[in-house]
Parts: sequence; structure tokens; C-alpha cells
Amino acid sequence: MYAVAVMVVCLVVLITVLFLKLQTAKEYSQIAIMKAIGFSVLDIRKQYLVKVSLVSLLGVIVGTLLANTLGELIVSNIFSIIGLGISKISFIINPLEAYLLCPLAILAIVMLVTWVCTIGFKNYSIIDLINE
Amino acid sequence: MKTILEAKDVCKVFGKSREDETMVLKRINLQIEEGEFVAIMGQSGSGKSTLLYNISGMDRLTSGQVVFDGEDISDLSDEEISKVRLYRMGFIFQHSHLLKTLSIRENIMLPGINAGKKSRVQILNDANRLMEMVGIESIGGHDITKVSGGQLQRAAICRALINNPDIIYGDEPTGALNSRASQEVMNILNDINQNGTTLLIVTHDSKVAARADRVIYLSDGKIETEHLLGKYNREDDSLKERENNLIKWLKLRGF
Repeated sequence: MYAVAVMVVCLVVLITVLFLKLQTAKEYSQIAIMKAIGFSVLDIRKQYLVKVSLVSLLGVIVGTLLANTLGELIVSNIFSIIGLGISKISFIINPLEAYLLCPLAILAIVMLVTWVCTIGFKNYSIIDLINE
Repeated sequence: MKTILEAKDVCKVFGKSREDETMVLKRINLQIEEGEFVAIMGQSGSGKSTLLYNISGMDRLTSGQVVFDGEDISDLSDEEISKVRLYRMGFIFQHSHLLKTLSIRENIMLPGINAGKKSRVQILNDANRLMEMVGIESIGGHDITKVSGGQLQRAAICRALINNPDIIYGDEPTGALNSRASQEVMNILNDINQNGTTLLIVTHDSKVAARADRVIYLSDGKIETEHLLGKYNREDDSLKERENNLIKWLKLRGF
């Protein structure tokens, strides 16, 4: 179970980092302009934190709902296709863990990774943008 | 008159190691009075833009001091200098650098909203007033890709003015415009200066510099010389004469 938890954490971190790298590369000029007109690095980092957190919250809610409704069906079908001789799987879940702690943990990891990844905004400069 | 901006022994060095170090600004000393319009001229690579960005707090000095309205801004934290830039300074770049995801009006309002000193309605009214002042009131709701370069630059001027700054910095504000649009933009900047806002403009264009009270000539990272032109009055049609005067002065000094 702990191995699964570690895998999930790694996957969440990886997806978040990749998404942020892509997004911040795309929005480099916007960030530099906002700094030039008086937004502090902290302001911009908070904006990103809110944006990413809202998207993640939506993802976590939808994911939890889908897991609760379609999860067993999907996993059962996968195991049937693989041919392990398992035709049906039933989840035994701890509601507190499944519906509160794990979603909150995923959200917390996303927020932490976002905060760390946006440290580099202090190096974004309108001067580099102009020179380009 | 009050000194609004003072640079003392400002130096700027670029380069990550001793071998590739370049001293771009060499002990610059400069004073700008409140309400003045100062133009900084010089050859390409003389350090004009570097000087502008360093004395406006957009870049960090290597050494020296910059005092803005009595406050040393050289060692302020990012948070502190951002606040000074937001509330007390305006910037106009060669390219307008408006945000693509916002309309013209929203771009203009953005620094006002960030400042948080007025309500949204007041900021909207200010933005509309500024747009009317510069003649772009009809394009407020437009995407930035749907308007001309001159209109974008006028929007950039409005954005720079939304928080009633003490000083406006311009880095070649007419550099990407045709002559007619340049004239319109400079007329607006002259009017803003007439109303008391200090202007510090970097330009290579003598037509722009001729509108300034004073021209500072930079060469190889140092202030070579200054030329006093006196206050320009748009009504007395003296621009051509001022420009000829300036060009003669520049030629006499081999620039």
C-alpha cells in the first residue's frame, strides 16, 4: 500500500512539474510584463498557486466521484482483459481515507510543488524579453 | 525645484566570470528635477537602456546608489521595489507589451487593480478618462491583436498613468511607430509633462529628444555631456528649430 502511495505521489509531482514548466514557458512574457508594471514575484506566485489549486481541486473532485462510481467497473474490465482470471473486483475503502485524506494529500502535494516551481519567477525579467 | 531622482556613482557590470565581465555603466551621476522632461541619447551600446532600467529599479546596480524622492531604492527587496514601481512609476517600452489575455481597457486597469487603492468603478472611470484623453476610447473592449501599433502604444501610456505616477520612464517609446504615430504619442507625453509628470525617455531619435527640456548624451557607459533646450511649448511651433539646434550641437561634438 505504501508502494502505491509513493507511486501516486511521484506521478502527481511529475505531472504538476511538467504542466508548470510548459505553462510558465508559454507565459514567460506575461510574467515579465506583470513584474515590470509593479506586480511582485510573491503576487505572481500566489496567482499561479490559486490557478493551479483550483484546477487540481476540480480534478480531485471529479476523480473521486468517477473512482467511486466507475472505478470498480474499469478495474474489473482491465483485469478481465489482462486474463488473470479475475472477472470482478470490489473495493473495500476507508471512507475517511478515500474521500478526504487522499484528495487533500494530492491537493497539498500539487500546491507545494507549484510553490516550489514558481521560485524561479524572480529571475524572469522584462529586460531579457526586450533583448529577445 | 525638488530633485525627484538622483543617481550617485552608478555602475553596472555584466558577465558571470572575471574573464567575460563588461562594465556597461561607469560611475554615472545624474539628477532629475520634478516636472522635468529629460531625454537620454547615445550610440547603440552606449548604455542608455541599461541606465534607464537600473535607475528605475527594474535591474539591480552593481554599485552606487539611486535615490528616488529622498528614498534610497538601490537596496530595496523585490517586494518593496515592486510597490515603488506600482504606485510611483510608469513605464512605456518600445513595444507596448500589453497582456494578450486581456482587452485594451483591462490592460490599462490592471496596475490600478493591483494597487488596490481605489474601487473597481473608480479605476474603470480613470481608465475611460485616460483613453478619451489619448483618443482610444472606442477600442477599449478590443483584443490587442485587433488594433494598430500607435493605438497600442497609446494604451501603454494610459496603463503607465493609471496610478498617477510621479515619473514616467520610456525606452524608445516611438521606436516601433511610423512618423505620424510617433508625433501623436510624443504630443501626449508632452501634455502629460505639462501637467507636472516627470519624464525620462531613452531615444535615438532627435525629433523626440528635441521635445525634452534637457538632453543627456551617453557614450561608452559615461555621461559625455548635456544640452539644455528649455521647456517645449507645443503651441509656439518651435519643434523644427529645436531639432536643428540639437542636431547642430550633436554634430559639433562629433556625435
